[in-house]
Amino acid sequence: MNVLSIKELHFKYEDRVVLERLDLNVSQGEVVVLLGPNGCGKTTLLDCIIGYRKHEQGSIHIAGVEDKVFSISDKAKRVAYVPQSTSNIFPYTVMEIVLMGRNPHIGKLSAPRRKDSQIAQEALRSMGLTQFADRAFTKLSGGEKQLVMIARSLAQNADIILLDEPTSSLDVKNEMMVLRRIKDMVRKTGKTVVLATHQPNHAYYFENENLAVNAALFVQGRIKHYGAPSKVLTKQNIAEVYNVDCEILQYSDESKAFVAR
Amino acid sequence: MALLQFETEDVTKANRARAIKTAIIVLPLIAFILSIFIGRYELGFVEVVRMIFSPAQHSGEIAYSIVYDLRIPRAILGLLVGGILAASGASLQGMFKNPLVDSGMLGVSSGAGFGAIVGIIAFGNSQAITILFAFGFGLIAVLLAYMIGTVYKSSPKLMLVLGGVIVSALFSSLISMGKFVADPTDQLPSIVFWLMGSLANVSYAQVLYVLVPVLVSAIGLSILGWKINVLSMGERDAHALGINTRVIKILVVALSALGTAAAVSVVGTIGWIGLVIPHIVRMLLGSNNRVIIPYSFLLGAGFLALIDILARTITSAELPIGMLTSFIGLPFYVFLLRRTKGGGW
Repeated sequence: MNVLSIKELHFKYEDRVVLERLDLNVSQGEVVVLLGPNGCGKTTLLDCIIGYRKHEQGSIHIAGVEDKVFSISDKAKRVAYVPQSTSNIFPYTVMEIVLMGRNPHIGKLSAPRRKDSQIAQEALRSMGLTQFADRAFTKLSGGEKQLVMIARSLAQNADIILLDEPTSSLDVKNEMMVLRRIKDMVRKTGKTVVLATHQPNHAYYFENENLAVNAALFVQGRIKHYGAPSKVLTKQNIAEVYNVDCEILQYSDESKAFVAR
Repeated sequence: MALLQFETEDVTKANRARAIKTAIIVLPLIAFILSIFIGRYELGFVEVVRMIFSPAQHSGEIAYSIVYDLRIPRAILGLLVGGILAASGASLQGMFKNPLVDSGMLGVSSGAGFGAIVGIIAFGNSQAITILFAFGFGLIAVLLAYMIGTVYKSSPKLMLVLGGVIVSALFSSLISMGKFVADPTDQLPSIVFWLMGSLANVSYAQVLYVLVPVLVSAIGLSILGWKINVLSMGERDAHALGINTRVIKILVVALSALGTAAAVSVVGTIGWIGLVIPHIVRMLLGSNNRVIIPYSFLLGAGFLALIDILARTITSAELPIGMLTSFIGLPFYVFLLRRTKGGGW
């Protein structure tokens, strides 16, 4: 069964149409990589899935249940969200940040208890961050910050994790570190991941690592091409969507990579 | 070896935090005791002790009424007012993630000021009516600020601050108009004294007016502290973490307004406590609002009660307390800013 099923989703800001009759079906444990030019609607789609923006037409079903019946915190029990980057916040400790992931499981007016701390600690451990627990989040490197945010989404204990360009502000080393941790997490936990990115190679990376991955290539609020990265991210499709001339390299071990020319 | 070093560092950090917390908890108590012993009217140490431990035998004496009818209610009021100004300032700063915000910024103080003036001009010097009007207009001002803030959907938190600035400006000009209209021999001095803020002429009645709103506000805000943490991560993030951002925002604003309006309506405007005390607590105890809000209450309480001792003893005429809070609070604040380099804003 599809853990996330989106039908005919329609969204507009004032009178600018951002998402137009968009369909997307994601099954448990799958990675979906959303690709497309700036302003194509990727972030808006994620906003609609977490319920931050309300769609007017179409439907979003989570594990077979239409999302309109979920309260905000019910939704958060099922869908976690990792933002593009986190800045301009108070210098909370890493542990305090990860504990926030427990919010949907905590009473409306309460604070986390011991059990929540244990779950947060476990989430930190699985991201290899145990020794960071008492450090100030704001003093971490960009890559470490993203790992903390992923740990927070694990503490949230949702089946679906959405990531909005999680590596866009990172250098190559940190980018690879974060991708590797996402890959390990999907393998270990079977979480469903929807990841928006500007890098076609992220889709290839997950494919090269033999994860169940689909790439969704957006054009102006619709998914124009959808399927396995090597089927979707072809020279022709990329030229069509981004207007960029490129080459898809194939290495001797069959893994692929995209190079712009 | 390195691990051991980390551990001892953690232990000293934890010890330091515990020592600071203990000091902040004890401070209001010390302030309370000092306020009973120190005052304009010279009472010997032994005499005060006698009043405290065997009040029944001394009722009717001057010393008795000074301790029980003047010093104790005044000390309690100082603690409550200082505490709630600091706690609501801490909550609003945390929620708006804006170091310049305190409850005055929502328009409460100027609204209450205008209400007091209306009360003084229309009904003469009846204390109860002045308080009632100040309280009512303080809340009306916040409501107006909130309504202005919701006109724009884009950045509602910032808009609410802007709404507060607009409403404050409106009521400030109304205050000026009130001063202009007021009778200069009788009403104007009352207005000016009210606006300067003072804990003088306090009775148990006033303590009672303030007690319930202040406790409701302080306890409510402390409970919401952790949710304020989540809210401070930004609207989208907080929503994705399962927070109904609108409900929490309204609760925080309403509780802050309630406590502040009650405090301001009784003692007038006392500036800087709501701004400075939370910053100091943040620098000392970290960023968790669940901790910051109750400890801001305690530190604000102790601070105002101590300042009030100075206000009524350093000169023969009582000094306006609002002036002293800024004179003493601000240099200390600058000192801490230099030491911690702002710590997180």
